[in-house]
This record gives sequence, structure tokens and C-alpha cells, in this order.
Amino acid sequence: MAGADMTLLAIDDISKNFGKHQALCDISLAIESGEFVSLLGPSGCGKTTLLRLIAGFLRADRGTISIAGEDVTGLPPHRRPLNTVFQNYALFPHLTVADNVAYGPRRTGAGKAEASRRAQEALDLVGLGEFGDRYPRQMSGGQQQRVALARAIVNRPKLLLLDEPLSALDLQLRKRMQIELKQLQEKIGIAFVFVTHDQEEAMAMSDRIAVMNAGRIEQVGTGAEIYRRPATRFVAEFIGEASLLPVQRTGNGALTIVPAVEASGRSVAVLRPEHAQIFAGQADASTSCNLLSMEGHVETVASIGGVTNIYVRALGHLVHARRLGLVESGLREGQKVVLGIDPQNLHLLEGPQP
Amino acid sequence: MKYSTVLLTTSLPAIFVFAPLAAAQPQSLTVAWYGGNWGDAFQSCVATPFTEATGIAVVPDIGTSTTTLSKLQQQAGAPVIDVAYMDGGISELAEEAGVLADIDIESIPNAANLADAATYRNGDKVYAVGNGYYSLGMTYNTDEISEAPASWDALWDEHYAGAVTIPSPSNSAGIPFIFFLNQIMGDTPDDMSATIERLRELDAALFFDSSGAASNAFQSGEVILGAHFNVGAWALIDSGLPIGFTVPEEGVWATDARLHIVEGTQNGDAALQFIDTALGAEAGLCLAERLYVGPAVTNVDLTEEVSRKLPWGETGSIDDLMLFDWNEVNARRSDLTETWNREVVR
Amino acid sequence: MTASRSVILGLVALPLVYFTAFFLVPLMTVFVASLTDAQQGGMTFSNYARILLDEYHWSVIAVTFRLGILTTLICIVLGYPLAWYLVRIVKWRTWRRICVILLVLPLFTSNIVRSFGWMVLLGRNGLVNETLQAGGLIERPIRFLGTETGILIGLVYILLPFVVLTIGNALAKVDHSLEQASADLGASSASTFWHVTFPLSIPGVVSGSIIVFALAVSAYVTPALLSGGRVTVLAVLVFQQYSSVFNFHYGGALAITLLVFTLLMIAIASLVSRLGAR
Repeated sequence: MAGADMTLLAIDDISKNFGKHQALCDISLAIESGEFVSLLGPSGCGKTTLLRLIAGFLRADRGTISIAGEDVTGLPPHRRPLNTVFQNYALFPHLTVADNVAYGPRRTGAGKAEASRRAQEALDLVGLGEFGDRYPRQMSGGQQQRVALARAIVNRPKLLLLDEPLSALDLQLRKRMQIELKQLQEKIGIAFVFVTHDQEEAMAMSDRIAVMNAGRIEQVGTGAEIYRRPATRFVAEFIGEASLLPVQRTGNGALTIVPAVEASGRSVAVLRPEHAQIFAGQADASTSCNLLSMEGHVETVASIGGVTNIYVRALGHLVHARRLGLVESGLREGQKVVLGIDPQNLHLLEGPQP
Repeated sequence: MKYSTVLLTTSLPAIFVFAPLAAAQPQSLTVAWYGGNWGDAFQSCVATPFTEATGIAVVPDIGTSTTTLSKLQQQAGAPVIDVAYMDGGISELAEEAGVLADIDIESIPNAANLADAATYRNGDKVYAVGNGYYSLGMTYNTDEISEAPASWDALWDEHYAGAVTIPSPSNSAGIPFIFFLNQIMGDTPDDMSATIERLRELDAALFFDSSGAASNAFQSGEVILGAHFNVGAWALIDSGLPIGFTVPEEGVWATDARLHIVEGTQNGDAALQFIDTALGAEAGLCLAERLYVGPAVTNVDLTEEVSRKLPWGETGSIDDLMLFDWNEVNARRSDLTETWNREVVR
Repeated sequence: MTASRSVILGLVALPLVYFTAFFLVPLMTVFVASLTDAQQGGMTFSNYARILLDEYHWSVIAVTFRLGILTTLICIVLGYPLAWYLVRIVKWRTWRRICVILLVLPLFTSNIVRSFGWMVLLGRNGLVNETLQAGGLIERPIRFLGTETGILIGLVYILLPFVVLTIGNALAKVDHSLEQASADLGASSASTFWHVTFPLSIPGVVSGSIIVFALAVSAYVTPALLSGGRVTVLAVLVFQQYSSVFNFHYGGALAITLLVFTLLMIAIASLVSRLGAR
């Protein structure tokens, strides 16, 4: 039964209520061995609740959770073959770094010498081999994060749960830790379930991302999939930036964009800002064939470092366009422009949208 | 030096409280007395009639005898207290400390009726006058003991073993009571070893520090026989408990609450007037009725009901009271306390 | 500038004056008295020699500290589960508040009243003996009053709230995620308690113990009432000297001896607990 690429973690129809509040509703998710999966969503979407259900700190109202084929739904946390990196690291303040890391082996039957050998290995792996004698409070946030990581992997679990582990770090350190964490994950081959509300972080690290909203999984897929082909309006708006445009098919099957006043009940297409082209006039737009064109005027121009965001009002829609580099001369607020969109770059959301 | 603690903690509030009162009232007299029923009785039996007669307000300064002595010592030279009630024993210590004025006994009309024993002299100086005797008599549980014990020997009766009580040296009556037992056993104060030996043999439930502890033990039945103050015993009896109070054939030890005028007071005349009121027959009657203290003046007419509750018992008189020279008792406090600790307390 | 500086100076001076007036001066007064000869008035260590070179005083010190240590141990053993119940088991906040109020309420009544209450309960005909006799556990009443057991019961009852409050406070401060981390790393509930929760609640246990111990060895009212004058502790000796013998020199030396021994015990205990934590 144990195939190499068999499902490691299987979550089936999990629901969880807190009083009248439905925190999770019919969640199903399967994670392969060695896979890096992010649970991504805004705060309150249920991602942390799901993580705590997997870890065993919460009990589901309905549904089952299996790890490596074993049903763990009813098992207490200490009997589940997984480990967790907590958001605040949860390092034991009364133990040294070495004892913190050796805690897992000690509690699961390793002798003192064996436990400290394994702890040293784990600390070496995260680059803190020299720091075993210190207490957590004597270390920086980044170092504490690594200790938490070392402590969580020392028992070599098949599955590691990480609850926003980088959120307390400053931007620079966070970027560096993202890379290190990903490299470590690949090196030790443990499956990661990584909770984050930072879509860039999820995009940069994950094999797959489960986008969650209001207690449901909206979409599961690779970063590219959910960016290019968002399944829902929520995913389109939450992942990257997007202009949502109501569209209609003409008789010959071609798409046209419907003015805002007639938007109700139409299908909706997602337009990423890098796909919106801006021309000075209709004549320029016509030079490329098959472009959908709309006349409009520039409402806002905002340069942020290497990127310029341009918001154009056309057919009553506010369309977001983006150019690399500083804005070229001539593009100023109030100016009349023509927007050009390649229909191939429009991703149509399934079903009628509100 | 040793009283500067008390000075800091007690004289500050005293200044704050009494300064405005003194300013509002052109003439007032500060009198130190005890708390509880004693203070209440002094207020209604002496202070209120005094104020009615003279128009001079009385400002009470409440504390035990010991506390009052401490205050007098720290206020020496500029006293706030004019008149002080203190018990026998402390009274002698106060005189020794030099904080008491000579009481001009001739100018107190009611002092004419004062018993000789109740005028306390140091040479020619009168430093205190008695204002009522109380005694440490035999108190017993009438449910357990049908007949009033005739002798203090009953304390050693094996029927009552483990259920008797006497005062400990921490109680003001503790050391004098040892003197008392010593005397009724026929020993001299120079050698108390036989008395100490008998105390060692006493199977006591309790050596009480406070009168309240003794009352509590009698009330709960923990103690069925023992020495207790007549004031406390009668309070129990009056509340309907099966308690009896008796004066055995050997008599009882007694002492008194005394009045003193503080050295250096600015209100000497008012102080004498206050003492005159306190020594009056009406005040004596009132105190006897309320506290069952035996009057130190001879002209008090008591009802039978009150007189049987007095310190000398139903049939006795002031002659049944055994009064010791407190100076002798005080001189032995330290070594008897130590002997008690080492020999009697097991 | 000068005004604000004088305000700051005043703010600093006020507590300093308060501390000096109400703590330092009284303590120094007692200390100086203890070093003064009762008769001649010069400086002397004779008051201390009288205490420390005397077997009797050592036996009193032994009784005092035996009661203090036993009271502290029993308070911890009883108080820890109680604190646990209040902080970890009780989910209904109103009930928890009621429990805390019930626990703290006796502290607002007089120590004397509560000790008198125990005198009645522990007496020969008291509720405790009657219950034991009715239950057939004993034939004759057990003597509690006038014994160290009686004093111990009274002290534990009076001092228990301090331990429950300090331990409860420490338990409430233990971060739940630490216990979850422990469980996550494979520790059972019992193992988590011994390796995480209990070590982290030790500060509460230590401060509770110090409070209880200091109050137990210096207690006068409870030992005086429940001992019936038949068990002597240092506080009783001190009280005798101050209340009836009026020897403030010897009494002061007794008080300072009690203070020094108490501080020594606390220092030893905290040293041991610090070494134990390593």
C-alpha cells in the first residue's frame, strides 16, 4: 500500500464550527510526500484553524484526517506523526537552545546522548551549531525562528506544519528566510504545510497553493495556475492585481467588453495589469491586430520604484495597467488614451458573476 | 529611643485629629482609656456626666494600659493626654517613668470616701487613685460541675484534667497569678520552685493570653474550670451560658483600673474635676452595673443583683481580694516569664 | 526647568520618606534597642548571646521554623491543585470569580476571628472531633488545640489563599502555545506538565512560598490562640517581652533573630531552587 508518491496527508470533508461561527466548511485537500503546500488567505479565512486541526490541537466537527494512510482524526497531538513551527516560535524559555531541540527526541524515547547528538545535527542544519548553550531570550528573532525550525525537524517527521513562521521578521530577513526555508525543505524532503497571508511568500516558496476564503478552499493549484487562471473572483482579486471586466460574446464568438452600466449579470473576465496596453490614439491601437480597444482617460499615474501603475477610466471601468520603468513623457492625468487588450490574455471566470 | 517608633506612627495622627478639635472647643480634656466595653462604660459613667456638669468636652484617646504608657513617655514634656486610665502594674511603671503628676487629693471632695488601699502613694506623692477593682476568680462550667469549687486545688482535680485554664505570662494577670498561687500554697516569694512544680503538673487545655481567648474556651466547652476575670465571666453568664463564677476559700487575686493625672498637663483643674466625677457614688454604681468592677469608694449602694457579680463574689468584701505590691511583681516579671517558658510550657 | 526638577525630586523623595518613616526607622529602632544593654545602656551583644548560646531558644527556633516549613509545604501541595482548578479547569468565568472571591474573602476578616473559629472547630467537642467520632474513626477526641498540629491547621488555612493566588497567577501566565509545542513534540499531558508547565510555574510557587513562610514564622495570633499557650514560637517570646516584661532589648534581639533566620531560610531556598532549575 505504501507507494512512494502516495498521498501523505488526506483531509476529507472537514467542518468546524466555533459556536455559531462556521470556521471551516467541507474542506478536502490531499498533500503528497515532500510537497510544499501553502494555505493562503486573509485573516479569519480558516487557514490557521485548518492547521490546528491537522496538528490535533482542535477536533473537527465532521470529516477525517489521515496521515500516511492512518486515520489520525481522533488522536491527540502527541500521537500524530508531524511537527509544528509556531507563529511565535513557542520556544521553551526555561531550556537552553540545545535542550529545546533535544526535547522532541527525549520525549519520544531517545536517551540523553542520542537526543543531544540529534539536536546538534538539527542545529547544524539550520546554521546554529555554536549556539546550543544559549537561552532563547539571548537570541535574535531570526535565530529563534531557526531554533524553532530545528526543534520541529529533529524528529524527522514526514509532515511539518508552519504557522506564519516568518511574519514576525522584518522584510529583509523574511526574504532571506524564504529562500533558506525552501532550500531546507528540498534538502530534507519533508512535506510542508505552510500557513501565510502573504501571497508573494506563498508564490515564491510553494509547489502548490490552497487559497482559502471564509472557511472554504477557493482553489488549489500551482502559483502560475492560480495567477493565470483564477477559479473565482476572490482568487483573482486576492492573488496579484487584476481588473475585473464584464464581457459578452458577439455572434462570431469574439469577446467584447460591456460598459459598466450594463455589467449586471454578465460573465466576468480577469485582466492582469501587465496585459493592459496604452496607446496615445485609436490609430496606434489598430497597428496590432485582434486587439480589443477602449477609449478612456488617465485617472492616476503612480510610480513605485521600478514600476509605474496607471489607472485608466474606460467604459466606466477603472482599468489597471502597469509599465516597467518610470513613466514616459506625455502620460499625465486627464489625458485621453486608448486601451488595447489581447483577448487571449482575458481569463473568463466560470459561471455568472454577481 | 525605644518609643520613637510609636512616636512616628501614633503621634502624627494624634496631632492631625486633635489640633482642630482643640481649636474648635475652648476647653477640652483628653482622657486615655481602654477600648471595648471598658471605654464605653467610662464614657457613659464618667465622661458624659462630667461634660454635663462642667461644659468641658472629653476627648477620648483609646488604647490598652501599655499603649497609653508608651504615649505618655513619648509626649513627656508636652503632653496631649491630661488624664489617663491605666491598670495596676502599669500604673507603677508609669510612676517609675516619671510621667505622672501629684494628685492633690485634698481638693477632690469625693476622695474622702476612697478606700485607703485605693490611694497609691510614692512617698508623699499620690500618683494614682483606684476607680474599680476586678478579680481573677474561679470560673466553671455548671453543666459539668454542679457545685462551685471551694478551693483553687480543684484546678488539679483529675476529673477536670485537660480542661482547665489559667492566664499565661503574656496576660497582665499571668505573673501576679503565679504570686497568688505561691501565696495560697504558703510559700514565700523568694522561692517559688514548689509552685512552679505544681504548675508543671497542671494539665491545662489553655494558658490564655487574652481575656477573649479564655471566654471563647469556656463558651466552646474546651475549658470547664479555670481562672477568669469576673468581668469576662459575668458577661458569659449574662448571655445565658452555663457558667458559674465563685471566690474560693483562699480568696482571689485582684487589681484595679486607676486614674492618673499626667505630668505637665495644662488642664490640672479640669483633671481634678474629672477624677472627682469618677470617684462619685453615681459613677461607682454605674461602673459596677456595667463592668461588675468593685467600687473603690465606700459610699456606693448596690443592688443585690449587681453586688453578687463583683470581684469579691456573692458574700465577700474588699478584704477577700488579694492585692499585691505591683513593684514586687514587676521586679519578677522577666525571670518568672522565662521560668514559665522553660518549666511550665511543655 | 527648576520647577519640573523639584517636582521630580518630590516624587522621588515622597516614597523614600514613606519607606524611611514606616520601614527603616522602626526596624533601626528595634535593631539599636537589641544592641543596647538593658541595665547600663551601652552597646552590647549580650542580648543575642542570651538567645544564641541557649539550647532553649534553639528549640523554640526549631519549632518556629518546623511549623513554617511544614505550613509552606502543605500550602503548596494543597494550593497547586486548587490554583490549577481555578485557572485551567474552570471555564465558566462567573464560577471562577466566585471561587476567587470565596478564597480571598477570609483575608478581609480578622485573623483573630478566624483563629477563634478554628478553636471552636478543633476543640474537644468541636466539629472535627465530632465528625471523626461519628464516623467511627476515633474513640476519644484527638487533642488539636495546644499542639503543633493545631497551629499547623490554622496557619495553612489562613495562608493558603496567598499560594493559590501566586501560583494561579503564574499558571495563567504560562503560554498555551508552549504546552501545545510540547504535545506536538510527542510529550503526553503528564510529561508536558512536568517538563513545561510546572517549571514555568515555579516563580509563582517560589514567591508564594516566600510569602507563606515569612508570614508563618512571624505569625503571632494564630499560634497564640491555637497553641493555648502550650507551644512556644519565636513570635510568642517577642510578644511576651513587648507586652508584659517590657524588655525591648531582649525582645528586639528576638525579633531581629527571627528576621535574620527568615531571610537566611529564604536565601537558601531560592539558591536551591535556582540550582535545581539548572
